[in-house]
Amino acid sequence: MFVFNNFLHNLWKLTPVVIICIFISPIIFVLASLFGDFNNNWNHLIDYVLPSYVSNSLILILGVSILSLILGVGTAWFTTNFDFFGKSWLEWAIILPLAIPPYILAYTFTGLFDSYGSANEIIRSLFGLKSDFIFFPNVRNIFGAIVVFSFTLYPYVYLTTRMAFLNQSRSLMEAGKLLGNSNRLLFFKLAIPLVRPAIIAGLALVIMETLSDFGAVDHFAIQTFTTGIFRTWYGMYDLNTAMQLSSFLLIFVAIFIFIERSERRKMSYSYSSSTFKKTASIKLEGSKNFFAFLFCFFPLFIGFILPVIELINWAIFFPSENFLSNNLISTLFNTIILGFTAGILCTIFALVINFLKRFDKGWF
Amino acid sequence: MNLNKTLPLLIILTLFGSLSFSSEVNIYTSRHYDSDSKLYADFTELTGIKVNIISAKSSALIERIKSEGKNTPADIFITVDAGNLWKVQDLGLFTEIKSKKIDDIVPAKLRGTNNEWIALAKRARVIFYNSEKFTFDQLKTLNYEDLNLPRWKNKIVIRSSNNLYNQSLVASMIANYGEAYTEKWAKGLVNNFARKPQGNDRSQIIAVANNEADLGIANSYYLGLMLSGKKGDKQLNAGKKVKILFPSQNKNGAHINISGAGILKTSKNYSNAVAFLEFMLSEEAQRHLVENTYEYPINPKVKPSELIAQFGLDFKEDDIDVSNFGRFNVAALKLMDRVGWQ
Repeated sequence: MFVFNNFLHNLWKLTPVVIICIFISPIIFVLASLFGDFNNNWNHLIDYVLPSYVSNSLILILGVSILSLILGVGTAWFTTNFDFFGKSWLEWAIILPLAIPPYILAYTFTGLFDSYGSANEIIRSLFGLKSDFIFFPNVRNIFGAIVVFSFTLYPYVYLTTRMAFLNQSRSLMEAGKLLGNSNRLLFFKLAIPLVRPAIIAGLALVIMETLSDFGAVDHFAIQTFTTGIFRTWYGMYDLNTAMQLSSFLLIFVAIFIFIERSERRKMSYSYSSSTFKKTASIKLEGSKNFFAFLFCFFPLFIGFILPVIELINWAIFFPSENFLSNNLISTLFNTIILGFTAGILCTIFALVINFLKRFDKGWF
Repeated sequence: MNLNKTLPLLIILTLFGSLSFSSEVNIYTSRHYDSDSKLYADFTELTGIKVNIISAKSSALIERIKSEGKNTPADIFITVDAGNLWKVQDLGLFTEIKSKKIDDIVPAKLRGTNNEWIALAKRARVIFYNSEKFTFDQLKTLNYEDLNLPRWKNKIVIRSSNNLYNQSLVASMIANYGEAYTEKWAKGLVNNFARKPQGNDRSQIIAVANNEADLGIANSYYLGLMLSGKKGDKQLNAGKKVKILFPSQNKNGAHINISGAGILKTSKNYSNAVAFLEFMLSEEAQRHLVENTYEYPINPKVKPSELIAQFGLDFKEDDIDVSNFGRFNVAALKLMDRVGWQ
């Protein structure tokens, strides 16, 4: 009986290993291509397209980081430290853009801001302008992509930074104020460095999602690693080179995963001593109140409300002849089943792994 | 009731019953038209054969067929662009379509060399121009080959080189003129772009309608679609401003591509598959096809939709074997990379 119990116990401990092995195997398979041959398609790639893949990816990372920093940290700062109009619902609504995949926002943007999109039409009819007047700049470029990624992914930065701000002790800030520092100095020299690990952890998630996106960059016709991988696979019929390209992207992404993990470990929840006081909210008045509301509402509007309005607009005014066709219903059904099953499975696996990690100090 | 006697009878009856319900044909298709579902329903009504559809992008379907191997349930692969058909043929996955009916309808240049696949409909990749800016007489001698001339600088719009239709167009140039000529031509063409390639075919037509460019290159059927009003007023009004020019009429002719299909070697319902393809080429199916997608029919007894026919039907077609689009696809893609066609 005891032997059987022991056997089951060991089997149980092995479960997370098995799970992880299953999930890692495709990655190992792709990475293995790095140890095979590099055929002469690589000469073509290096000569003509690889530089733009790398430069576009770097520009995207830089631009998206800056913009999502401003949006994520700014909104986190406002909602943690101040009381303003709409704060009670804004502080959770701010994360809604996370529900919009970047490529959906990309489609919405082109539908709105293309030369004959809805936004330009509205401007034209509002001001009675000529039919070829274009007000909004072209979005189908890397700047449009930076905006799209930033406004759908900044909630990652918001979430991690806000958590860190909330756990910040007020006494630290009060001490800083007592020592005669201005508000601006307090923000940049004290508050931000304290939450730096959280900010970087959030940013790493943003960058990972940006690098792995295909739909948005494909729609804006920007050449990146992801579009290049598909182009090499389908267009050049070269699966092997595509896998090698994927491997480089994976390694790049792994760097950011590593950064995120090491920063997360540095996040301190200390100051649990008796001097820990939760930051009280300062009530804002007048123009400051309005500014705070606007600053927090704007990303929610662009990242969630605007695309939802445009999608509803399309659904009502441009219905497909077969809106309730079998195709749509089976697609909807598949999506729901996929979402539910994936969610449940992920939760189970996460629970199992964490449970075992906590209660079984094996060598795993 | 003597069970010993009736049981075998029951078993045989159930087997027959399930057999008659299992007469089916499985189709992997990349055609993205809602109107096709009526065709499948009509076929089932006519023959009693059930039609099972899996619809996705061509490249995804091809990879799926490859990885499913012997176990693929697919009988028929329907796709757009001859390049895709050639790819499956080159992988050795198609089997010969043996049907006199089909042979009589589909000309040899629109079939695989050994009938590995057949065309179901045709389209031309043509030049769109704004009729308020140009007259037909001004442009009627325009060739694809002239599009790299300096007079068209900043005046041409076309979609990205990622798009298979463009790759096939360049592939046909390579097949007709060789790589060196085509590379020189493409470089000039890229210099004439009014904007970085973006959007789909209809975006190019709309750009021409809005005078953002003089010439747009896109597939013929899109104008039919826009003029039908099915895609809204904006597209209808834009469509009214443009006309089609069939290029290269005094050279090789307009570039033609196809929607087509083939039967997979591993098919378990070969005769059902042949019956389906014969149905797709029948007058009734062809008529429904072209009335909804504005392509040109293969069956000579059927006329294309008036909306697209009004721009001309007697144009010269490039006679080149469409298999070449697949054969030269990789070369075309690399060439487009070299000349900076994004």
